[in-house]
Amino acid sequence: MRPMSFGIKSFAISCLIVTILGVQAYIGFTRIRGTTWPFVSYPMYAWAKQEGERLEDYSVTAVFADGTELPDYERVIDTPFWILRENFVLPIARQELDADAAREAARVFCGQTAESPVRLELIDTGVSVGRHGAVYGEPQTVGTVDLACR
Amino acid sequence: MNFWTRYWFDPRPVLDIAIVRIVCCVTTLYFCVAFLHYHAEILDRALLDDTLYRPFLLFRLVHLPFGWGYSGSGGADGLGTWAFRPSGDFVLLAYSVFIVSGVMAAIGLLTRTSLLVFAASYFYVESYIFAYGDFHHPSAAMVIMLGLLALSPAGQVLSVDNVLRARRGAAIDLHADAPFAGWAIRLMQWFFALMYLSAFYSKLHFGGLDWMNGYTLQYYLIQDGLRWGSGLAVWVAQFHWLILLGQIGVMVFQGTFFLEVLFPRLRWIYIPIGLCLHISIYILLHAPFFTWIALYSIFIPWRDVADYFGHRSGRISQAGEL
Repeated sequence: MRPMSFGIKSFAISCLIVTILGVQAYIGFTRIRGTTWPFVSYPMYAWAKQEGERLEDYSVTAVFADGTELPDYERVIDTPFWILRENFVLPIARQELDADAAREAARVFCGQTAESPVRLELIDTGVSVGRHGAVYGEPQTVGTVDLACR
Repeated sequence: MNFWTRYWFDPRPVLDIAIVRIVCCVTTLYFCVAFLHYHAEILDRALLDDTLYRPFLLFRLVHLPFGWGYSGSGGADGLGTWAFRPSGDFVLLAYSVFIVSGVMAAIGLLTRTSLLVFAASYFYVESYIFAYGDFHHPSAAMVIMLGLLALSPAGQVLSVDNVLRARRGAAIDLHADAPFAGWAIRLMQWFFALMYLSAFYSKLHFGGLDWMNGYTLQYYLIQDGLRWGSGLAVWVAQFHWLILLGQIGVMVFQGTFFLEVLFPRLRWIYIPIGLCLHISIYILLHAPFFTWIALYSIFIPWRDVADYFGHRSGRISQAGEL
């Protein structure tokens, strides 16, 4: 079979090839995160960790008006894990939100149970990495958000 | 120009791209419908507060006739005054289109059109699911692959379209070559090389050579093991030296994967290693890169493999007759 001649179709596809590979190469090496999906960089598990480093492993304890507490509240409600983590858990744990912004973010917890909590406590589970695997330490409260559900 | 034309556009087996089409469509449908339960995911997101809605650039472009900003942005960044957020019902309608067109594309009925609709609806549904401050990597390459398949002769064989052509006496032979049957596969092979290079570069950038210290992967094994209830990951995390060697292996694999595209014979080394890597990531870390596993089909010369086994079975049956 004869090789293809370079026609309009070949030219159009060539432009597409160059564009797709060019965009992916640019984004892949400039670490633009997500905004240009489906062209993204791939920094999965890319941050180095050291012996003794605590895991970013948190749970949420809900405190109700009568003082009762419900641990692992994030498992009770319907909001998907990653949305909670990106919008609420990590920004509060990393102290990237001020009190107003944290209260706003915490609204995702409102109305998800028969009675809404009045306060949320973010608990660091206290697990760290050791040479021989997981090291279990004492859990710590790393953030508290008063919740004003309407 | 000759080399470029030969490399991308010389006639290639139509069987190869047809098998890639079937593998990609079936895997994508299974992944979204049966594994990730996108119906429920869409319903969950439809209930979320407007303040959490932060769509990506391309998703906002899709809605441009209706609005550019997003609800709840309050105009603080200048985007909130002309906002649009699709309703859950509308996204469910798009999801229905996604399923129907995916089935049609898999069986090869109106292949080009159904692939185009499948790719577009997959992009739409996935973009909606990722519009709430969180996104994941596995589907990005598949969205692009499905779009490229729609521009390729992916339905020439192993398709209902070809059965209908056969009734008119114009069927395409399973062993045929066709112009433009190879460029999409080659393009995605290079795209894969760039994805792995991006992962390699990210590790060097964020972690440096210290990334390969053993503790890094132990950390992620423990974290994801506890998060997703993988006792196996937590157990494996106790073997420091084994994990350190594994980390070196990952860096070498990701940093040199492009060699497989340059020298296709290396595929018989890289593809089994890559498959083992992604399957073990799923077993240990519960990170489902099924779409990448399916996309590995672009590295298999399916017609050559079929011919090889065809000849072997022919020789065996001839020997039996003797």
